[in-house]
Amino acid sequence: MKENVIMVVEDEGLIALHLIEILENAGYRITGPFSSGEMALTVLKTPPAPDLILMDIGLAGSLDGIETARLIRSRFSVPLVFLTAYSTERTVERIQGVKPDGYIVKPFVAENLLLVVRNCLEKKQC
Amino acid sequence: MKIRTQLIAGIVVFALLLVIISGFTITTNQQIEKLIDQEELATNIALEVGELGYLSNDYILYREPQLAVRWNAKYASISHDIALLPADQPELQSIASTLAANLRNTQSVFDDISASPVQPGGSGTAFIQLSWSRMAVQNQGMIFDAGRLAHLIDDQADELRQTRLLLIFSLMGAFVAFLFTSYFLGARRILRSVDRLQRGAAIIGSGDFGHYIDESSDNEIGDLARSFNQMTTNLTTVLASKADLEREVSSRKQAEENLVRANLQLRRNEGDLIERNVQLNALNEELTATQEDLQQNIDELTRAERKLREISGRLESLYTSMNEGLAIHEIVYSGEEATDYIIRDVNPAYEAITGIQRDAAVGRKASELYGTGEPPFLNIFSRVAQGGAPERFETYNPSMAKHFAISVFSPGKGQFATVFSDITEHKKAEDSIRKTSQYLENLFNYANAPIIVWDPEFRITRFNHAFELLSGLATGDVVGQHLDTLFPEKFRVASMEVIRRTIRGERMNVVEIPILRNDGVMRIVLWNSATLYEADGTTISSTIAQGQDITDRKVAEAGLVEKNRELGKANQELAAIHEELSATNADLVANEHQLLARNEELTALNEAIIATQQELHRHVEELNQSEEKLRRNEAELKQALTEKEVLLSEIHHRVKNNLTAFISLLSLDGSMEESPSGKALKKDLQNRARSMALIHDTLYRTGKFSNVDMDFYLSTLVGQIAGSYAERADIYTHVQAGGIAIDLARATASGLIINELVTNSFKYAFPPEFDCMAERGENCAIRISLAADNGVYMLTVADNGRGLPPGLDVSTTRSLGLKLVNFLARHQLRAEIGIRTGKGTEFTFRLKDKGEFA
Repeated sequence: MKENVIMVVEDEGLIALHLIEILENAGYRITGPFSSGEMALTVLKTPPAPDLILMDIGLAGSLDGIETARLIRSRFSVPLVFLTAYSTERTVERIQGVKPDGYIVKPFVAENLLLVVRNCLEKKQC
Repeated sequence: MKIRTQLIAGIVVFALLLVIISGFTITTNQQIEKLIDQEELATNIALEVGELGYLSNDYILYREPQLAVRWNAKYASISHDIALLPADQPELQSIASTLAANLRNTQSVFDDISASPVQPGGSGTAFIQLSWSRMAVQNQGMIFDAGRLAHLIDDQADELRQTRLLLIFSLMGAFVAFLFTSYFLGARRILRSVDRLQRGAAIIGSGDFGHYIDESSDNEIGDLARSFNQMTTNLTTVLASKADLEREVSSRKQAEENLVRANLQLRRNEGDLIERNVQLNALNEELTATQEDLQQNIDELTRAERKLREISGRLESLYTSMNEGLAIHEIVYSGEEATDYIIRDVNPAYEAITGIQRDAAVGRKASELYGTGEPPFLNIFSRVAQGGAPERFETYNPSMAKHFAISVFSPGKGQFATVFSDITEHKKAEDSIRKTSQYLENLFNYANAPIIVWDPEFRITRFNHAFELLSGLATGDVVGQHLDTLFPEKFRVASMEVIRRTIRGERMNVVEIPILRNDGVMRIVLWNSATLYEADGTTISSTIAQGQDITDRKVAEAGLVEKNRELGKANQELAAIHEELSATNADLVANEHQLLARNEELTALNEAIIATQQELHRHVEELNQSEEKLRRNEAELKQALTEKEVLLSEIHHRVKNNLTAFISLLSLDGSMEESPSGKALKKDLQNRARSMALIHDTLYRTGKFSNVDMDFYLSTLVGQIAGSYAERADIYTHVQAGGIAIDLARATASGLIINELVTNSFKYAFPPEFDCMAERGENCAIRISLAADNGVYMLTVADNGRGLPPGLDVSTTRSLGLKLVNFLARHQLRAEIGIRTGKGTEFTFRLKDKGEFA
């Protein structure tokens, strides 16, 4: 069976570590974590593309997660799930404008995270 | 039925069908659009309920009033949307009612949660989980209902779409049916009729006018066929008339041939007639020649008569229109002697001059008519009447006070005619000329100025008295002499040259010509001259010159010339002075021009300065306004900044307190297993939370929210860690950060790394059996330093303990502490890690600057 690859874009080290630990323990292969949108876009230029992208909103660098997602949407066809905490209405509007495949609300629990990831990868429905 | 009627009926039926089906289709479309809107509304309600769930979770977690406000706003929005849901079908109405009820339940649950106090201690987590679950139940139910509602509406929309498709197909079927019906009911029948008509027309066209087109339909083609049949009938009748005409033509041709034969007979008779006619023509020509001669004679006579009439007319005209009086007389003889004469005729001029009317004069004797007793000039008139030559004389008539010029000639023996004219005015003019001439002669002779006249050959013709005095010559000696005799020898040629120019018509004006007196003295004369012409205006008759003796004046002039020369010299001196003055003046004028130009430039400059000043004033005013605006903005910004700083301070303080509460929570009995490993884990967790809480505490205390003062932060952090290992008071800690401040993200990561490494050092570097003094020659120590070099930070954590276990690989170790160190350093700090063991353990982290880090 093919091993699914998940790209993690998260600038908060501890959260990234937590995500990776949960996903690796569940048998997924991780690319990243990338703390900035620019780094993620650079890596995506080189195939193979990941099977799923987990994208934080606030990132280091000049691009935030929403803008990075918009650029990814315009160039690649990879399922993308946002990792969101409390957001302003403006941020919510911007997120909806990108039309992501799913949301994971911070703070998250491992079961919920894995449920969303599994749905996205296996059923193609996040 | 007519074709037109059939067509109109078909189109009307089809149009009615089209209108009905289109109406149904439009209505269906409107219903579909309405259902789509309702489906979007239901979907939107589902999304909004999801957002309401997020807001509920956040509120339950944080209990912030602004989240409650947003929750209530979202609730109101969903409630409004539910009220707009369709209520025209029982099923949909039921779901909408369920949604509304669930929403009210959600409100109740939320109010219940809001009213509940925040639970202290461990039961708070359970309360949160319970609240989340309660809200989730309500939200999931509403999302399900909204989804079901959207699905039902979508089904209805699909049904309507199918209906619309059916209608469109019905419309197309109706159109096809219309086409087929039109073809089978109308077009086929028409085509058959047209075919019959075409074939019938072809037969008739081939000449069979007896053919009858069998077309009995009552439409336009039937009418056309009947018209064709009527036309062939008419053509048959016309063809019968044509046979009668041909017979008549034949009889006429016979009559024409008879006429030709009769004509030939007539031509033969005509030959005889022509011969006789030639003879008659010869006779006629002779008569014509005689007639022409006669006509020529008549013409000559006519011309002579005409000429005579012309002469007579001219004479008559002359007679009546001439200015001179004309009278024709006849001499009255007594024996051989002429005694009187009778007036036989007079012209109108006679009447005008003499004042005697023609009727009074004609037939009367002159002695009676003129009342002179003796007939006037009888001897002259009788001489002429006797055959003498014509004569002319002048006479004065005292009774009429008029002079007459009379010409006499004889038109026949014993007769004479007088032509006389009134010359009274002429006589008066002669007298006047004579007097003028006398006056001019006197004027010439006795004028004070010397005057001389010469002819074109320069012969002197006139010489007045004054000239005699000037020259000392007598008129009689000079007249007839050449003009140059008057001039001194040496001036003669030059003087004559000047005078010759007068012949060419040039006038002498103020020309000095010297005159030689008879006593040898030379006089200087100033001359004016004029050339006189004949009546033709071109031929020169003479030249008249008037002189003025200026000899004395010339002498005076010579004196004046001398004085003038002196004056000229003085004038030159004055001119020199004038030139100097002119030069000075020119300089002054030039300077004035420069000054004027400069003045103009200054004026322009001044205007530009004024304009610039006005512009500057305007800019200053704008700047003042901008400054005022900036001041207001700055004040607003300062206020906003103050508020923001207060908020940030509050947030950092709150985060620190939360983390502190978390540390306290871990300290509570029963929070964790009280085994040694549990206690160690608790301490690790507390230290990690403390390192993060301390960051916020540092920001709160220093009042700087963008960067963390690392000297303060690291000293406090290491002090707190050391405090948690109070039993190892033998281990010294040294912190050196040199006043460096770095951003919050990197400070947090650095704090966690330092926490892990310092904790490791306390835990593992200095076991009881390790004697620092003996092994290292110094006290046990842990050193933390942070130094900056060209934007690169070098963080060092070192101890002088026993060092790392052999073979330990930081990147693969299962130890959580070192895993954290490795991950945070590489991922979050983007730092290069260096590890050195020997006399202890030293970790170095090379942090790139922030731009590179980003």
